[in-house]
Amino acid sequence: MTQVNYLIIEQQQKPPENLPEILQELSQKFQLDIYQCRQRLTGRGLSLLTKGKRETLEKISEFLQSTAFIHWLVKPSKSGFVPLRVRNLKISSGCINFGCQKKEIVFSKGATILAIFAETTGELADKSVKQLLSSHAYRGRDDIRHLEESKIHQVILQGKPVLDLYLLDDNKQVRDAVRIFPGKFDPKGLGERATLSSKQNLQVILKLAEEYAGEFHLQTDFGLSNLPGCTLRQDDLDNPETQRQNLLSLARYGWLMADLIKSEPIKPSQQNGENDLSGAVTAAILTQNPAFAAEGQLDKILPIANEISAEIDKAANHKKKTSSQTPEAAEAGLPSPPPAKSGAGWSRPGFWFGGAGATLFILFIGLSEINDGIFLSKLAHYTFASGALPFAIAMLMFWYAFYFLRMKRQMENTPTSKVRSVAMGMVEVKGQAIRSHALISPMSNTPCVFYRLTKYRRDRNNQWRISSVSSSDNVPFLLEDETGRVEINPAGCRVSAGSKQEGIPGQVGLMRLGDDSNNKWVEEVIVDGTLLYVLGFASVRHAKGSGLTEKKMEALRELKRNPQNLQQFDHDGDGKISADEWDDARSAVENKVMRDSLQNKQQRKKQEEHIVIGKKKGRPLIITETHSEEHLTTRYLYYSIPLFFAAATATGGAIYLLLNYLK
Amino acid sequence: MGGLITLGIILFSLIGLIIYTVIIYNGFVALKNNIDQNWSNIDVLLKQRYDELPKLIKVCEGYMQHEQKTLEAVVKARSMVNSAQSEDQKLHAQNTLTDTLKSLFMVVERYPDLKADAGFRQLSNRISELEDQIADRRELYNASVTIYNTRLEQFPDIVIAKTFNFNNRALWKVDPAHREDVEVNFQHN
Repeated sequence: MTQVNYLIIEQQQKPPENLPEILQELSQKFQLDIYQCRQRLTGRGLSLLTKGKRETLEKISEFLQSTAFIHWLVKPSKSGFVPLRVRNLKISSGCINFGCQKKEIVFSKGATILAIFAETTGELADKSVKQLLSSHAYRGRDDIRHLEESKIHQVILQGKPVLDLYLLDDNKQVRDAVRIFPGKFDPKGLGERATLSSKQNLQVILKLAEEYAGEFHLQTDFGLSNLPGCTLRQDDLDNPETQRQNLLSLARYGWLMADLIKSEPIKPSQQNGENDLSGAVTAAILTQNPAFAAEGQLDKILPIANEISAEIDKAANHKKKTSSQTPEAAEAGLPSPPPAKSGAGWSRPGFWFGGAGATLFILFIGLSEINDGIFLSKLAHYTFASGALPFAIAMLMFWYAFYFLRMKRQMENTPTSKVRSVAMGMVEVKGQAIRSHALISPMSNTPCVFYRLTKYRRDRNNQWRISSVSSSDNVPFLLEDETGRVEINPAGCRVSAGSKQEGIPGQVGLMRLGDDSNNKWVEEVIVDGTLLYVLGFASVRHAKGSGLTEKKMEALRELKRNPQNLQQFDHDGDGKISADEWDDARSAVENKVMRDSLQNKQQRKKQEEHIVIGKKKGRPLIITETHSEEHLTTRYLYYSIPLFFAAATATGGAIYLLLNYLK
Repeated sequence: MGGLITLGIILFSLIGLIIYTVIIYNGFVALKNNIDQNWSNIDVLLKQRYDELPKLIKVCEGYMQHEQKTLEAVVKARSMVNSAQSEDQKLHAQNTLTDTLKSLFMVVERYPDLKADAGFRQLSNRISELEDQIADRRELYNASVTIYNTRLEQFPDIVIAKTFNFNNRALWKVDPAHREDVEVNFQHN
């Protein structure tokens, strides 16, 4: 029976640009599942790409060498034993003695040590998923950020940590292994380093192991890596069997990591070549002897050049690392949205109009029933009996019916513009909503372009009453069609969101953590990427950024900060800038700023940078999720028809009451 | 009593009818103005294109010594736009200008130095952008006219339209010459 080999890959946090081509190759040449491969190649940590016969895996490895992925071809050794539990320890200058139940295990100074610092309840995996979700929500799928190493240590310590130390021999075979649980060993052996915190003591041992090791390897990805036999069970954690299984998985993980140390990583061929070359060439430049740059000559001719080369390589790699990190750090995600306004719903005139009408109606009905001689109740009675009140209600309904009809007409009469040629004035545009700020709905945590959150509270009559309304109508977003993008400012808009969720306080996403039957919330969300219909007023956006004077001032400040640049105006060469020379410098800087400014004006701005569609007084602003305009206008027609009928009936009733009253 | 009720209903229906008529009438006025606005919006872009042309010609002149004929055609078409009086003349002049510009851009292919010139690239991109926007706004104009003309022929709008003399508006139509198939000849050296 042939033993199965593993092809383990070091995942890349940011997928390479040619990832689609790599996936295509893996699928076509090696019949690997394209979606599974994508999952396994991107992320943080190690992952099993595939397993099988060594010859097959070698072919895949050959292909992977042409990509940026570091990988290992491993023949996994069977877990010979489980690490022994440490009860006490002794530290001497030459070794650390771990006292276990049956024997004492000695970690001598200078040995190769593999440390597995792990969390066994799944807390780390949960935090990692949360980090991924929030990164996805705030930065988008192309800029996912994973947990940093320091954060991982912190999370492990906050959970249920375990430290496994493996002692490896010269052939990198596991010779012995110990397992340390916080609080389950006698910390006296740590001497002065012992602390009152059992978890801190665990960290002290980790540091000690690093100090004593000649070669030290630390792995903290248990539970995060997709490796065979190393899965962490998170269900039924109180069950001793689950705990036992998780500790077994941890042991398998440790053995596999030892195997990885034994078999060297296979690095991308291009990268290796580059490093070798850079080191050799730089050494040649340093020693001013081009012959050293020739392949294979470096070691023979100048042994010391190896050291120089290694140092330069190290520095060059460090530089490369730094330079590759800089653009990533500079790559800003979406900006944070401005703070949400509260009570946006209350500010609408329609709300007050309707609310006032309803209150008056209830008030008058109530008062007209109590005809006990009070003036107000008499007034109410006569207002209703004379038909004045039904008539007022009828007028209100007519107003709304005509309003909906007018909106329907307005939508039908406005042709749809293309974003790139939007003209100033009332426009209708259709397209996909795109976030321009990192807006997340407050309850369901959905990346969205707009949300409205209405909170309700039960009153004494067991009826739901609105207690607060908040929305993101102060956060602009973008609308994209096939021709370009334009900014939409939803302030004061009539929004019809397609996604609506209801929940109770304390509910996070779909998980209910509380049971409050007297409060609830309703969240309406326009999800990022939704197809939208927008009818609004297009206008020129107010210019942002500093003016010409500020730019000149900044350029002059920059010139003062940089003596080398200033020196070019030192015409007499006395090393000082005289008043005349400073005048020259100032006029040169001013001219440059003016030229740059004119150049920028020549360049056409993008539509989203200078046009905004929003609300104008007396004009509607409608933002709604829809697949067809006809569907929308039909909806308005359906609103207006029953209102017309109700208004006509109320008017009929008002006339009838009036005639009876006049009799 | 019955008479009063009938009178009330008639009065009520009359008020409803008047309001409905006012809505339809106002709708027609809004549509008409919308069409005019859309037409003027095309003019805004045409004016922008007109203003950009001298800069483009100036850049081209330096490189295209042997294409004076093409450049002159563009200049001539531009002055035609300026002197056009009637709507038809304006339309014809604009179409001629579009044609001459197309010829100019085709000729430019023979001048790699000119194509590589940053100023020319910027101006030609700007003019191409304007051409696209003009085409979009013409579509928008036609959409407005279609909505208006459809309304004019629908019931009950037709009654109001006939009463208040709202007439059909013409769609922007392409020059018949532009409908003909383009003949493409590949010359093999």
